[in-house]
Amino acid sequence: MYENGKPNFVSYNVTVLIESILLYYFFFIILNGKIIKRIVFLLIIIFVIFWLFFFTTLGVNVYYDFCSNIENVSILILISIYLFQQVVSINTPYIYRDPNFWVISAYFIYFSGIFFMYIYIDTLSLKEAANYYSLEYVFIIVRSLLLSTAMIIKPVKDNFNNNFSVRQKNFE
Amino acid sequence: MIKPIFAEIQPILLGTLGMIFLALTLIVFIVFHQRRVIRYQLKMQYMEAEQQQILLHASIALQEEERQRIAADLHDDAGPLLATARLYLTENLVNLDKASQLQSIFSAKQIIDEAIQLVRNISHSLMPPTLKNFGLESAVNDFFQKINGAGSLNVNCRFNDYKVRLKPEKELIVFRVIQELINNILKHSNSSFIHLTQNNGEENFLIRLHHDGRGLTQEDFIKMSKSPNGLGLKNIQSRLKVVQGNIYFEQDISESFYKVTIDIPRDFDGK
Repeated sequence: MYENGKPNFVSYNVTVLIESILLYYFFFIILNGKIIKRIVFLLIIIFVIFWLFFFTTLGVNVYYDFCSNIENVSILILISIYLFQQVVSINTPYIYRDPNFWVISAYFIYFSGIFFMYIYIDTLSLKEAANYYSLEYVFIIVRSLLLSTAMIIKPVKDNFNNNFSVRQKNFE
Repeated sequence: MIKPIFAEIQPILLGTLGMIFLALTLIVFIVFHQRRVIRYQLKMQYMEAEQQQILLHASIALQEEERQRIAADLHDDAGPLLATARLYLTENLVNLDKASQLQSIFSAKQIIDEAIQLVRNISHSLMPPTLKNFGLESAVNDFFQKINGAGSLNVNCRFNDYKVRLKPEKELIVFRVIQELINNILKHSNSSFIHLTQNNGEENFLIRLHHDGRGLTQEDFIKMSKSPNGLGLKNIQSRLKVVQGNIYFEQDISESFYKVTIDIPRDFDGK
């Protein structure tokens, strides 16, 4: 992210673009409901349009903070939708045995942690803002740990609902 | 020097801490909520299985009771009758005079007729012929006439909309449930009248029984169906389960009589 002591905004902006598209795609897969899937799809398009707009108007050497904020807020909203869906309907026997849950937790904690920082960072001087980057590193470490957990955990087959229906059928 | 920076840092730190706290609380809440829901569902499954077990036992017990009754009828009534008939028709009969022979044959014939009637009664108790030939309405009317004949209480029925008969198996189940309910009312309620009405809902076949004696409410019914007693009620429940029907026990608002409603989906078997 740094090149000759100066922040490399090109790679940073590209990272934001790739990360956002991958995350939106992840939500597109895991969220239930046609309307929500369409919204996620729309989000991908809107985000790419914004990114391309900044890319063409501001050039490559400027940090697209607006895109980061859009990513931040939209992912937090999608995480809330995912968690709400988990409360309403139970698809896995134990949510913490589902790798998706750990991915969600990783990004939930990460984006929650950097949410205020990204909003207020423009109001601070470069020196003051530098103090906060260490805070972001902490959240990146936490995110990485949780993502590693998601990778370690083996996905559990949905036996819970199947067992229930089989048992019902046996009695009927 | 430190103070002003700290004053500027504070809102961001507080916000970040707040957000993290919120995120963690939400995650923990969801994990615990899900565990609680799963535990609740498992408990419900267990209770359902237990209830099914009780119903199964009740239905087996009832079947055994029925078999014992038939066995007793055959052994105690049909057996002696046929044995007596056999006595009349011994080899010694040929040595008797004609008048005695005729008397013996006549007696044996009478006894065999009695045995035939007994077997017929047993068969009718298993499957009422009126129900088979003329349908539920006639069978219920027939059944009610017999009760009215005793003169102890007034029993009547009205079928408001029964032009299309239910499937025979369904009719038998409804008839057995009505029989069981009437038996229960006769045994326990001390009522002076029983009134049965039949109606059709949009997709349901409805039977309602009114009586003015001591009755059950839905809570009583649920309680009794979970207890080891109340074999008849469990039998009703298991019979209705076969046709995906429901039964509701309630007391009228005036508290002067009790109502029992049997609700059966008409299109259950795609007819």
